[in-house]
Amino acid sequence: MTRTLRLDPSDNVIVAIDAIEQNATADGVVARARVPRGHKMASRPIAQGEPVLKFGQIIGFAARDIAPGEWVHEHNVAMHDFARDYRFAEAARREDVLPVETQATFQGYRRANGKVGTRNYIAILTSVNCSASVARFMAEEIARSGVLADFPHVDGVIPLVHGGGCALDVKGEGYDVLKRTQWGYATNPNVAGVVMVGLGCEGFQISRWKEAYGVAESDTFRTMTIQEVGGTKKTVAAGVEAIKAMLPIANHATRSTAPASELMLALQCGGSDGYSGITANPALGKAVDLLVKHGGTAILSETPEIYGAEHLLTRRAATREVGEKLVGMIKWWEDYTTRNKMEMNNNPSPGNKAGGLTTILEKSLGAAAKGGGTTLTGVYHQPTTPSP
Amino acid sequence: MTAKGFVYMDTPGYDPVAATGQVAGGANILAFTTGRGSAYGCKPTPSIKLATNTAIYERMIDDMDINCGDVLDGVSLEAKGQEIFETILRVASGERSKSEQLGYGDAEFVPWTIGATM
Repeated sequence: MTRTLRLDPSDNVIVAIDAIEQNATADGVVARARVPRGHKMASRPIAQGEPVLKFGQIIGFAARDIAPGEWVHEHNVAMHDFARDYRFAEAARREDVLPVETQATFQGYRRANGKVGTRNYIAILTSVNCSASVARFMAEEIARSGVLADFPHVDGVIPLVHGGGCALDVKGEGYDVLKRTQWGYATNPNVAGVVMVGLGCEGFQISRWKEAYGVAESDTFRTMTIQEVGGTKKTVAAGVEAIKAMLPIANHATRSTAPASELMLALQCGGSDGYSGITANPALGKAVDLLVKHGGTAILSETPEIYGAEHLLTRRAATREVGEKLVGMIKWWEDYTTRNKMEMNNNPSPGNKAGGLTTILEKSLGAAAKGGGTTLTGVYHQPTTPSP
Repeated sequence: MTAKGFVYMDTPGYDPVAATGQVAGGANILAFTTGRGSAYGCKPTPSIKLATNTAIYERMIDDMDINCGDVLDGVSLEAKGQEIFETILRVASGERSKSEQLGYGDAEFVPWTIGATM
């Protein structure tokens, strides 16, 4: 008995849980070709131009007439634009959240600003790629010294290096995103202390960044540049000294009971296949529904990967405004990819396709399942500024 | 990010870039599903890996925290969701996920580079 799955009564394809061999019968249909596991087989005739339906949703259009029992994939499915009905906020509702005293709990690090961390790290931030090696040298020196053994409540020292920070337009969105990303890491509740190191002459000026966020040097926040301190060796030594001074402070943090409402869960899927939208993603969606019921937050992201499924999210948007903000982001991506001579349907990777995902719409419908079924309460740019 | 509940953040689809945005947004825990077998991990936010099928869960057992492939064998989505929720609470409390045990996270900080490099 070949295992298959029909995800919605209106679907004209079924999913092969195990490979369907040629001439085998699955769900009452004889396979005309071998259908690999995770891939789709037509369960009904699909005329050229007719939508291919999976999850009860359009995932593409038949590029030619497809007979029942045929393998349905890139060779006979095409993608083209079609109208989507956004029906903004139609399914919005007030979610029932458990009172805080009955919420599930975890053991976390409560920070001075009231946020709760799940880990206790010291981060070495870098303003520019030119200070990346120095940041690594600092972390390596800390590891070599063995000093971390004396501070069991500190999870480690992380060099957060990157390839940017200079030769960019400091009034442009690239600088803006980098600036906010750095600030977001500096203030993430899993971070107990920050050393930020720059070169000195770069576009991303640490002093300007500190000014933008009104942050001053403190016991747990130190910045320096290689040019000011006087070269690599002296800067590594100064950074290591700053970290060593932070370790006892960071080590004072202890875990205490916190409600699940202090959790902010990032949702990701990568290396997706034909099972993603059937097993792990909807199961994670159920966990998200539970987290929301317990007062917590879950973040769905990856706009090119919800592309085509955005109409399911706009219906769940708390307000029309929230839904329209999401549609605005979709339009930004269409423009961005056009400007760069790319197309949105490029996204299913060769691995995705080998796994049975034919179009970006199919991948998106499965990806959006990670978000569960509750009301979409907010839409933010990456990474967000403190207010919407 | 001010709203509680289910929210959306605009990011690219490329996993390390998207996750970097979410961590910068304040995420203190991360759940990552994979079918082909991602070997991702993150710092300072622990990442829990969920396999979509039993074959990849078994082949990459050192990387995977939860097998969701058993949903195809009859485990309900509700039961799996409960298991994931409980795992999230345990990892949030200090239990180390597989990618943490392997030491992932020093190379996965990838801010979105957008616009021209000159």
